[in-house]
Amino acid sequence: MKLTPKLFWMVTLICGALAMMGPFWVMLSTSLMTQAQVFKFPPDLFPNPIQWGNYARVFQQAPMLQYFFNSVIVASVTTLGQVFLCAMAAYGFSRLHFPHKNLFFLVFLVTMMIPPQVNIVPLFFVMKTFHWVDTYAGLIVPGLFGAFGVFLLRQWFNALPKELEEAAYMDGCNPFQVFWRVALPLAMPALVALGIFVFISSWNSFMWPLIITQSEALRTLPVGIAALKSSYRDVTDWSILMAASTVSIVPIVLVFLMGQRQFIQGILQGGVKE
Amino acid sequence: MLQPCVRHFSPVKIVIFSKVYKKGLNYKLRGIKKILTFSVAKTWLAGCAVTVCMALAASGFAGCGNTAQSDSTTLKLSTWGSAEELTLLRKLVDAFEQRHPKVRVEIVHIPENYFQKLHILLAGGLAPDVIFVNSLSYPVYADSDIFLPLDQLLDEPVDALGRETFFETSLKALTWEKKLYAIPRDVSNLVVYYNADLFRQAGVQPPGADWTMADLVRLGKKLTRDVDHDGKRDQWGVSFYPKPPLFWLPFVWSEGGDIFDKTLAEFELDSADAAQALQFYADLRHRYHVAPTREEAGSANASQLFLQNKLAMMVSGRWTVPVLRTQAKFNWDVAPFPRGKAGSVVGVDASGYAIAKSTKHPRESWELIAFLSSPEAQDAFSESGLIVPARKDVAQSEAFLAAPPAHGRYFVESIETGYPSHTPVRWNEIAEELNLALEPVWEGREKAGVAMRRVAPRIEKLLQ
Repeated sequence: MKLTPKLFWMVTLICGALAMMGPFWVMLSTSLMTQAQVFKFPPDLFPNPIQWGNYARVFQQAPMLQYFFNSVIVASVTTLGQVFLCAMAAYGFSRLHFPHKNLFFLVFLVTMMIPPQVNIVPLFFVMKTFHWVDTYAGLIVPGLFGAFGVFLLRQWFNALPKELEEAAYMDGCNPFQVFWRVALPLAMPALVALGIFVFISSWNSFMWPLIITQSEALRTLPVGIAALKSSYRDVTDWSILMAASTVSIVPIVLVFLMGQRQFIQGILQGGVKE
Repeated sequence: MLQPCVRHFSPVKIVIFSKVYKKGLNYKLRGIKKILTFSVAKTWLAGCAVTVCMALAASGFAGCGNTAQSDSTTLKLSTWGSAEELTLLRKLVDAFEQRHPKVRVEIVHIPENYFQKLHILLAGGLAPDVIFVNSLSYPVYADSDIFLPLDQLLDEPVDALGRETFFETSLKALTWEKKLYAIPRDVSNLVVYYNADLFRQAGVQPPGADWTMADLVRLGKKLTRDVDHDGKRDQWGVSFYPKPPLFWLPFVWSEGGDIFDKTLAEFELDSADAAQALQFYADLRHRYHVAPTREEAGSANASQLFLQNKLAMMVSGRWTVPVLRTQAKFNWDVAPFPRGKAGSVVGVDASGYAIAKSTKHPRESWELIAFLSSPEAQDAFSESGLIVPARKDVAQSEAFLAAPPAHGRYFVESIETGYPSHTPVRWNEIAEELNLALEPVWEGREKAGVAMRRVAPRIEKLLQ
């Protein structure tokens, strides 16, 4: 009686998991195949023989370590910066009082509805005025702010009991100290969740790094991997491309595993409105 | 109840702030200091925090853009291409730098979304000096007066470059309103690749120089089979590409039709000849049953089917040669595109180097292009097998013709009989409309004439 619904959900979840894992498996197995095996039809599920050499070739063909370094720098500075700035703004919107606060907040949220493609050209002009084209600053600074983060964290701050902060004021803290020592530590799960979101989107971002970088030394991983693809579809070495893609998702998996618990907590609580 | 975090800003402060904020937009440090002394930035509008941060960073990074000026010239060369092509280009650029010690060349490699990024660079005033373009996509730039006309440079031959160095059609493909805007590097056209082993097994002669559309159907029928007798066909006579247009346009041209008139003002695919040719192409799938349908091909593209011995003939360009050289486990060769009533006419696209009008170094840019067009450089490019060189002497050289395929000369011969690409400014949008309109035709659900008459008004609007 009780077993049937459980079984049903188990089967459903397993099917869902398989559907999610399918593309990863294709990526992983293709990365270990010979070019001839890649094009076999019907396709093989397992590489045979296993071509570990593909991974070595990735690192020989392209300055992958440089791309990696750039991606790590860009994604981590963007993440730290955005989490910090969004936390300050969110705290302001949640706790401070100033005229037209809600109007400003609304304007903020509206920016979430502007598709990022629309911004590319004006943003490029701004970057050019600063001489930031083809620099780390050009890669990082435009990613330092996001309305989504402000929204997520404001919800969190709203849910915190005011009494804790009031106690801190009684003990002589100024507003910044209250923010820094009381509110921020309490918001840790939300900060981690936002951090993971930002890290992943910065790590995956393609169009902006493609446009703002010119030299190979500044390329991030997605742009570098795109460069491995041939302009002639037929000539592309898919196993190399998949090996490079596999290498590139390792840091994301690590970041997620490290912050997993707080990530889920953060989404659960940040998503609840008062 | 104690409410210390309640902070009302007085209206005066707000006014001052907004003034300072406006100044701050000019990124003057003075303005920023004022913002900081008001200690508003800390907790006020977060947008302001970004501004401060940007401005501070601007002061920090401002020096980065202007590195020490030396007496050498730096040229920027933008290009697309695979890693192998880039390695090749880099070697050539090194050789150029050795011969011109005062010129440094920076390669701007744009692996994807090439023309989108080029658009932004041009709009932002950061155009590279030398820009690699393709005849299908460059008219919009030529029409906007962004490139230097190069006719004069070719007419007073420097470095032994002249008009007669290149295939006439390749120059035509890169000409816009009677002006030449790019020096061709390579020509891309179509031939028919065939699997000689499959022809031998079926006991038929492979196509030769003068074969016709009727032969295509006849040979296709002989070579379309159900090899493993499971009731489903698993070997086909000829490839079928629903898009891009370059794959079906040769059928139209070879039957005497055209997509536009000579002035690019009228849409002509709705004429009887053109519609009949398009219908013939669709019929290869649905009437003669010699080309795989979408369901039959699945996710495999033509070159995959060809490599798997499942396709006897494949219409494709030079770019397939490197793959076949390394991976084909059967004998293969090429034949020209089959003849229609107007002959065997394929499109001739060309890729080449243009010079941005905004360049400060037109002389050096020209020297670079001249070097990249030298026999030495063209040899290196064509050795990769990927391209048909635009230089006549290199394309007709022993080195190019002797390498497989055995009948490589058909690539060269069909340049001369081919139709240089001549696309209107809004070609990308037109191609998209045509792909949509032709989809039901390629699926066998609609007649080509009907589809073309239906889409004609939309295309004519894009031609204005």
